[in-house]
Amino acid sequence: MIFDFDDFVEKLHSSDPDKLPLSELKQLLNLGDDYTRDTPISTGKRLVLDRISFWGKKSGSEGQPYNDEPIAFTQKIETGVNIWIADNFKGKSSIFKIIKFALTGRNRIKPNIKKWIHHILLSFSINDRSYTIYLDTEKSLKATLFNGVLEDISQVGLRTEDAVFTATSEAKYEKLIEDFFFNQFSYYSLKWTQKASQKDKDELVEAGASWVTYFESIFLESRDSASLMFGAQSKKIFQMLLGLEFTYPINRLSVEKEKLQYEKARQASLSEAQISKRKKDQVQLQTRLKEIDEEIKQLTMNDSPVDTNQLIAEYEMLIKDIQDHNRELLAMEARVRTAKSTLAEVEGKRESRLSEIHRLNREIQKTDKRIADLEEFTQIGIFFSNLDIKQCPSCDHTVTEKKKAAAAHSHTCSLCNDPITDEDIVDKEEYDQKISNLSVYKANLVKDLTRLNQDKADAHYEAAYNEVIKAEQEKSGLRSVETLNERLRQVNSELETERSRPKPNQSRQNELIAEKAVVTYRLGQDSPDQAEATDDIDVKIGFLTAAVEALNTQRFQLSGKVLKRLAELMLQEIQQLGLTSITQVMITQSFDVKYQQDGELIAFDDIAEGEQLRAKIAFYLSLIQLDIEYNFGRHTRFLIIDSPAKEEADLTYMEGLSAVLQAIDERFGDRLQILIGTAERTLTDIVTNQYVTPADAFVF
Amino acid sequence: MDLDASVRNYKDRLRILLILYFFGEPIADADRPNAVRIFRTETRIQKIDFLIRNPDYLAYELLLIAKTDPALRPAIQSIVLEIFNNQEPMFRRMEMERFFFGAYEDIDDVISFLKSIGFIEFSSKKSSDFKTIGKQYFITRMAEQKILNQLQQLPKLQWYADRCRLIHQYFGDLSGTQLKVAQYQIDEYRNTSYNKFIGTIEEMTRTEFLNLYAAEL
Repeated sequence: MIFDFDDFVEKLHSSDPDKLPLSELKQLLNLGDDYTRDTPISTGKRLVLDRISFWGKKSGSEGQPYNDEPIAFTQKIETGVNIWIADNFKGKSSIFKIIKFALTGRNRIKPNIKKWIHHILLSFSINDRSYTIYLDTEKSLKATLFNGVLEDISQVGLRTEDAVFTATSEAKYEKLIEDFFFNQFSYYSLKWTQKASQKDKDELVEAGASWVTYFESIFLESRDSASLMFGAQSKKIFQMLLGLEFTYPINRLSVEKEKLQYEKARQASLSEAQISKRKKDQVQLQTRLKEIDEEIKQLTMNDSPVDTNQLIAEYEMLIKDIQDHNRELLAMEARVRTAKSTLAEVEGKRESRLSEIHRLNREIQKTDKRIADLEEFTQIGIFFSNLDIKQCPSCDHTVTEKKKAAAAHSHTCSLCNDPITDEDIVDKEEYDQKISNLSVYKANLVKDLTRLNQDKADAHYEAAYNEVIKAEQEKSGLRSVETLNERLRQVNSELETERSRPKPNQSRQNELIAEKAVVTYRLGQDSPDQAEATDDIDVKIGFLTAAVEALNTQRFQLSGKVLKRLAELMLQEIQQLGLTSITQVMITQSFDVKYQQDGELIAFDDIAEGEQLRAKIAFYLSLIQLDIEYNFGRHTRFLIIDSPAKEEADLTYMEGLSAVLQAIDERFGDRLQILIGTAERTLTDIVTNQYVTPADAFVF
Repeated sequence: MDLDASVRNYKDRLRILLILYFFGEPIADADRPNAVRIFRTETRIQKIDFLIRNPDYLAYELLLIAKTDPALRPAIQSIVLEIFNNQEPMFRRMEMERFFFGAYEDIDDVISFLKSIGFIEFSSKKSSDFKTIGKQYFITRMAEQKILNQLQQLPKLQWYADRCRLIHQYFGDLSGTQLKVAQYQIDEYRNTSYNKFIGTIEEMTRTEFLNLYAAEL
């Protein structure tokens, strides 16, 4: 992105040129390179956990029957969706909290379990680089980040040369691991102002979002489902995850403005006496300020700025290439998906056709056999017809003609004397009719069979099958994005080196800038002319407000596409999770997410309680997809969702959740990682990577 | 009686009559002026009946003969081919239960019927423990006339006569016990437990055919 600072300031100045000299306005708004610090273009980096292990001992306490049972838990974790299925209160959440502790230094493990865990080993990768965190928690924390993979704690002592850093307290570790992840994912601390916590101090201090704050966008705990993002600084997290242009200057200038506003209020309460007392310092300060300005000017003139434009241009070109490539890849994947689903459809039809053919063949055979049986039956009937009963097979007595005549007359059997009914007399015509009916039936079956055999289904199947193969081949033939990525990393690191290279006179310059800030601040603070100073502050506040507004507008214009795509992805995910009543999602200039439900625009808080978790999961999934599909944003592509089904487990939701998880695993399994803990056993067997603990059993 | 049972009943009558006739030996006995042929032992009826009702077993046993007698191989090849081409193992199969001494089905009713219409005469002896032994069946002249004159006019029944002649050609000299021994060579038959239907050996026959003639059935 190209940003012309001078032009920006001049335009602002021209709106009200008499209030403040242009040079002073430039000074007020000057943030150096930081105007162009943000880019929504993805770093392409992702965090993947490879293995979590921990050791310890279940020490018993009163009323608890743990007999110092040792804990040795280790779990390999794969890319894609990983599901832990275990009953509630059996240790799933503890595993996630242990992971959080390792990744952030913030220990929120339940106190009783905290005592049990003595060593934690967490291996993870950022792109192709592996790291392992080792925490010794038995006494006070000792934490080390290692390059590479450590399989077991026995290796900790042997790999000291691989240590990136070691920290010996939770606070130090939190800071070091924050630096590490901020650096990896180009995060920085977005600031806000707040009153100092000490009651006797009338000061406004800066506070900033930390890695722990941003981690709330990774670890979604079920208890937080009532807010879209975590805590009061949620919009800061959202902005950081999107990395939209001007986010840093907007934040910085807003903080400055808040400080000035506070100062204005404070000055208003200064007494006359204080003003006169400080008046004499004014002249001194003014003089010193002039000296400093002069020296800085000298230094700056000697300092030839390094031209990084070419690198930036190449960087942007590469990003564009990668985006093009990704688009191509996604299009190809969509084609493979379509081909596969067509194949599945054709296959289904073919199978039902084959089974129908099989059925018809069997039915024809059966009918043939039946016809043959009946034909034999009638002919055997003929063979044995017109035969006289001659002898009783039991007593060998001859059956006399007289007896036979009597039997014929009385319609009884001449041997057993039982009555003979019409049913006992075989009527050949009746059977001939049966045979002819069966023949018609068979002819119809044969007709059906012929029709089925002529069906072109096999040709359709061949075509669909070939299309799948062809699409897969073309997909695998796509040029590799690795070279581009590699070059991107190079350019990026060159840029970073260039930016952080100590320039000649840098340290002196920094000293002067720091002193100037102090002097300027004191001048402003101690202005003898209260009315004039307040006016001055008002003017500055006015300009800062205008600058922030202008930047906001520009940011919104530049990011329109990104936000629109994100909103579309969110809607898609929300609907897949079963919230079809939401028909539109909008993201406002101030980063409020609005949902259209039943014709009304509502905020996250207004969504029914039973539906908020879904909206939330949809939000994060779509942020990750934004990165994967469009190369925008800075989410780590790693999520932990604890108990996604706890409060909303109605059938539609569960089906939607299963479908979404399955689809995500299938489509993006190799590009993101999601850890899910649930007590909901209906989520069993929806993905490959699952760790099922039997009912009532503990995970560790 | 339902139709299926009637059909079965009719078929049983015809089959048993033809077995007695085609496998009986001519006699001239002054004590039995009506008798033209004599057939000995019920076991033999049962074993021959089994071969008629299970064309796959017949084909298999024919193949066993062909194995030991190369001269018969071409003739047996075409017989077995025809049996399978006509899908006889499926069309002609009438399952038979295994009894204590092999395939057996109660044929007393059939014999009684044939006797009541004067087609056969029948004699037996009682052993010392009152078991009926040494059953002899005499085929009367009337039955012979009926078979010679009328059977030819009923095309659907020709198969039975042809099949009897075929079995007679290859197995006619064997007694009931010998036939039983031959059938016992076949695993499926031997391993069928008491009171269970004897299963098909179509696949085994196909394999045997392939081994012998290097061609598929």
